[in-house]
Amino acid sequence: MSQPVLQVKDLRTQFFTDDGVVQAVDGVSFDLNPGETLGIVGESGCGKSVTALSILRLVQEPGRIVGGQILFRGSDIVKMSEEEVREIRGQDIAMIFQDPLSSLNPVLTVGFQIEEAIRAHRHVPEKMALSEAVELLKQVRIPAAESRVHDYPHQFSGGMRQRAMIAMGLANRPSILIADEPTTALDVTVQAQILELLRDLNRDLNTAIILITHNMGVVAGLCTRVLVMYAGRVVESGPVERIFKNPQHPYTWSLLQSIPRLDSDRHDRLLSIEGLPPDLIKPPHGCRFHPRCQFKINRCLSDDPVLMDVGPDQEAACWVTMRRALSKNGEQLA
Amino acid sequence: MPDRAPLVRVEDVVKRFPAGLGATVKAVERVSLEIYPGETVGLVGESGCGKSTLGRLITQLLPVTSGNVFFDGVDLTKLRGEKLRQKRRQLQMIFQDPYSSLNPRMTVGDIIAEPLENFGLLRGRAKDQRVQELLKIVGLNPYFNNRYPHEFSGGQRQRIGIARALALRPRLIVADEPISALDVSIQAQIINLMEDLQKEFQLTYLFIAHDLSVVRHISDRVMVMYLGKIVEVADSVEIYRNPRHPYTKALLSAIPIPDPEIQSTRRIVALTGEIPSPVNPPSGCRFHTRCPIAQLPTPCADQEPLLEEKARDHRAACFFSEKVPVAV
Repeated sequence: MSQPVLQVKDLRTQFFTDDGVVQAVDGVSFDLNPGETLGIVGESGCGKSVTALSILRLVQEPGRIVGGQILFRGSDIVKMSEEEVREIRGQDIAMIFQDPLSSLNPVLTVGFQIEEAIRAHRHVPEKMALSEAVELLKQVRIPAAESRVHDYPHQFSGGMRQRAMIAMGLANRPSILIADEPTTALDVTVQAQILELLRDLNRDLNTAIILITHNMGVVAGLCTRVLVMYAGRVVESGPVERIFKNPQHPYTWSLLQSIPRLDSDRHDRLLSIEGLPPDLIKPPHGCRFHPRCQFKINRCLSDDPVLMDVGPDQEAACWVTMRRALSKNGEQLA
Repeated sequence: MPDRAPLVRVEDVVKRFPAGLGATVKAVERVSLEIYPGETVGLVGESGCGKSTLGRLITQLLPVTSGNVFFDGVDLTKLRGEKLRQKRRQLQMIFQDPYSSLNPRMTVGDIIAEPLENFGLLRGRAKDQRVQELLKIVGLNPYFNNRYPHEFSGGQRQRIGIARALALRPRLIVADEPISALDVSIQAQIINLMEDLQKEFQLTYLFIAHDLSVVRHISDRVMVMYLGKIVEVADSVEIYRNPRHPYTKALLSAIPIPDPEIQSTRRIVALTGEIPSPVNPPSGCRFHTRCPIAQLPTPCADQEPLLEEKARDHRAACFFSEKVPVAV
């Protein structure tokens, strides 16, 4: 086993608002191995994006990292100076966002913005930067890259803009690419193209990818390992096959049961998770999922579960776990 | 489909928008369709295909450029003023964004009561009672009628939108992406609610969405649109099992299935490029520029395929529909 390229340990990020302290990320830990594709899934407000932003120290006021470590090749990003972080950003760890239109500068050509990304970290003559930009656009399969490099963002379609963002992210051959909902704003056929591109880049360049998404299907197609987040915490993690086949946390299980699938019986009624995600200023006592959990026991109301081994390489933070919950109901697991 | 009279019959409807500099957006081009009482028809397609415009033409929120929209046998495009207004009671819409479709300065009770007042149906206590009943029907606390929209979550707001749509006891509800702005765990709540309401009130739905897995789940029949045209119509089980248009096939194969094992063995029919502009759609079959099985230039680039019966209750607009590979 190689050394993890990134280790997040007990990360806590909070937002100090007028209404109180929002515990957006509350004790998140995970390792990322070189070349790995890790999916972080959860609903809005679960802390998945804030986790990603914390890794690059991009959390905006009134948010602050209040605890934990983010070790990139052994050195702690949380403790670095602003300058040191800037060295890492874009060079070692790059990030792409959901909305490529608002992440690109509308008054600069796409090529110029890619060159900027190159020259921010390397002393490259202008001409060479341009030809590198063209190469990068080719790599993300922009047709007629030599002429499109001079286009402005508005001349690109949504899918092409996301490709351009990926090209920019790859400009300095980062070891980690964080993609925050990279296909959410795109149509399905374009989403399929972007996912294929990310898969190829991961394979060809061995770039580790952290994919942040609410879409379980997207995770199934791209990732080898998954973290499921709920209310600021990791509730389950494990290899993608196990999480989908044998989820042990009731939240993961319910989420998978609540989405209509193309290959399922159409008349199955969807399982609906009643209620709403909790307010993270005053999260519920005990397990944060207990107010919505149909399998809760008394202990869940008062005792906060920690991540425990529930299978090979699989952890879940639950006092009940689906194995027990389902056997009690007489149902069999696969 | 049953030998009943359709509730909605759209005939040769065209909608064009001026796009400046003499250009025209051909949003909907000669579309015909029927919706039968009590069924749910799913209308799918990618952004810009004209599906929302078509929904608004059916509810007459937008006037047609040409063609006819019959509702219960009456041509809505010929009605004006009070007559149209009265007919409209029976067709309501639910919108995608539960944040911008509710007036933030009105209480939830007033929002739901507004259609009742517009038609002078109920007053005073009877009106309040109806509002509370509607809140209960959509699964909200009936005593929330004095609260404002910002006090509710996205899913709850969508329930308010549904209560408003139900207020006039409509027969048809056009739901335009009603769940795509909601979180995954909330989507199922709204889908289940819509299914329950349909049974309870014998509603007919036109369910517009880009997510084919959701559409397949809720619909009896599915219509697929591409660049202003309906390219395929079939029973929702049949269309997934046996797509007869290469675009439907590509769309289906692009949808990720939440199962890594299945996902790793699926073959994606990769479409090159993106949807062409509806200002200047391709000649012949509009899909020919991205189609993996097109025969060029003839016939695909110079003739327009008609939406024809390819199997029982299964229509597709493709010259080579028998060549579309089966099974997703």
